[in-house]
Amino acid sequence: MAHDLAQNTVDGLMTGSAYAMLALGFTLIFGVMRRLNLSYGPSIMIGAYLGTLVHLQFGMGAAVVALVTVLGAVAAGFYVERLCFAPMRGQAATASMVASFAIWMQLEELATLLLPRHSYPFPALIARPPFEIAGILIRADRLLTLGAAIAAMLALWLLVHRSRFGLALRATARDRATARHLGIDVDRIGLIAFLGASALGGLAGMLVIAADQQITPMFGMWATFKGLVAMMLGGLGSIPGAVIGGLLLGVVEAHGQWFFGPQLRDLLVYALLFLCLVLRAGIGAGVPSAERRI
Amino acid sequence: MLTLAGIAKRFGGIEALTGIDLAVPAGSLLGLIGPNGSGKTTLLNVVSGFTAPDAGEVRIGATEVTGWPPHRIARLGVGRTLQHPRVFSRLTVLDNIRGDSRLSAGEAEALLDRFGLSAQRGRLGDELTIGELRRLDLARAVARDPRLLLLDEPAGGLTPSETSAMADLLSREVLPGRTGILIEHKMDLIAALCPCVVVLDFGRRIAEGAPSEVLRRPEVVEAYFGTEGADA
Repeated sequence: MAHDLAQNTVDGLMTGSAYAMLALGFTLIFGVMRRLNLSYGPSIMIGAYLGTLVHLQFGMGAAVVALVTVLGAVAAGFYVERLCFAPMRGQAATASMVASFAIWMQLEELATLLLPRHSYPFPALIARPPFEIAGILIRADRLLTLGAAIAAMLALWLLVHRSRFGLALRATARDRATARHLGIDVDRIGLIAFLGASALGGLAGMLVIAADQQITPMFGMWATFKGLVAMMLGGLGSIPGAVIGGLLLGVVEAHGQWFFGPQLRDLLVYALLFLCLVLRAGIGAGVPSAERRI
Repeated sequence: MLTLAGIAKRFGGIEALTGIDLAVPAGSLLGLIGPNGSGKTTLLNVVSGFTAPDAGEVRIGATEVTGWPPHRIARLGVGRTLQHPRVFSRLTVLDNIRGDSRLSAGEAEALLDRFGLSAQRGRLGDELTIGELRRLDLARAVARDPRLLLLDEPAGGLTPSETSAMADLLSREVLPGRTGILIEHKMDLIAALCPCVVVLDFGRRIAEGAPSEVLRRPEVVEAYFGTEGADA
């Protein structure tokens, strides 16, 4: 029993690290723009489909496919930002959200036009059997995901808290009008944050798909759902909250699946989310909202 | 240095500014006065790019900046303080100063020292008194070493002794070598710092001249106190 609990927790943390990266991307956009990008997952999916296309058509290896996936997600993110966010800066946040939902549908259609079958193979980054540490089985590709997530989180933290750009980003997140008054180009900051979030999402998506070794058009919805739930569990707009929310989601799912099966696993996650919303909690609960921004 | 020609701005049915012409020579400080709602802050918003004028032209030096976004105007060398100072409440005073100004930590520390804020360097924006907020707002405005300064009631809400200290700070650290516009309701401060004032009323320019002379004009007295004041 104790071994199962430990194994589930390790598995959950590894899966949760990918959720945390997805949530960080959502958080970066929400923290700076105070807007929700529902096309976040589908943008990642477009990157992954382009990577798959390169793999199938030109026989490119995992490294090139990974690069194309991340760059494709950034390009799709740029398209979404220009179409749904840049022209609606002065309008209600829901306008961008609804527009990004419409683009979600468009990107899914584009993906199925590019590659019409339900699923396609995606090259693995690491092809070696699981290894054991203290009786716990560990998959190398999941460990790579955890390592990449830790590196991405550290890099993001350093960028936000230890760089001049990060200072401008935090200033923009807290008070756009004052930031503009001080000479900060808040629209440029917003665009860079958007592209950074897309790159982060592309990296997370690529690691998940490479571990699963297949891609389907459902991936866009999956990535949006997981990133959104993890962000909400951690408190909207908080970097540490997004990390904790992602890891918590992974661990709850792993234990839920083990104890209750796959159907009740998702129900358990919904119940946790419901509880957080009812208590107006999130992990960052009790901290005033201004402090939770980025 | 700063030239405004025919500036007009309407908000719905209200004419906030009507045909404002203004020229501020390099190195001088122009006082901008008038009753509440006369259009003073709107005029500064037009110069700093926060409000696009419906008509007219704004020039800073030889550059026409009409309709430019605020960050471009700020980068051209325009610093601004606000009527109600807005600082980043959850950033420290030091981070508030640095912002996007490209100051090194050492330069930011030196600036804080000049504005008497060294002791507050690690405090958050929302922990400051009104006097400290005003000084922080001023220090931020000069952080990029602007050639044009737009000061919107820098002594607003200050006690007489704080106002006197603010006048010293402006004379010593802020104004030398710079061109500026100063909005202020405290006429002693205007008289002490500005050789020339322009008076606005209902968005129109009604007088210009030396403060001691302009403040005695009947149209200015009427704008501030009504017809009875002008008759008295």
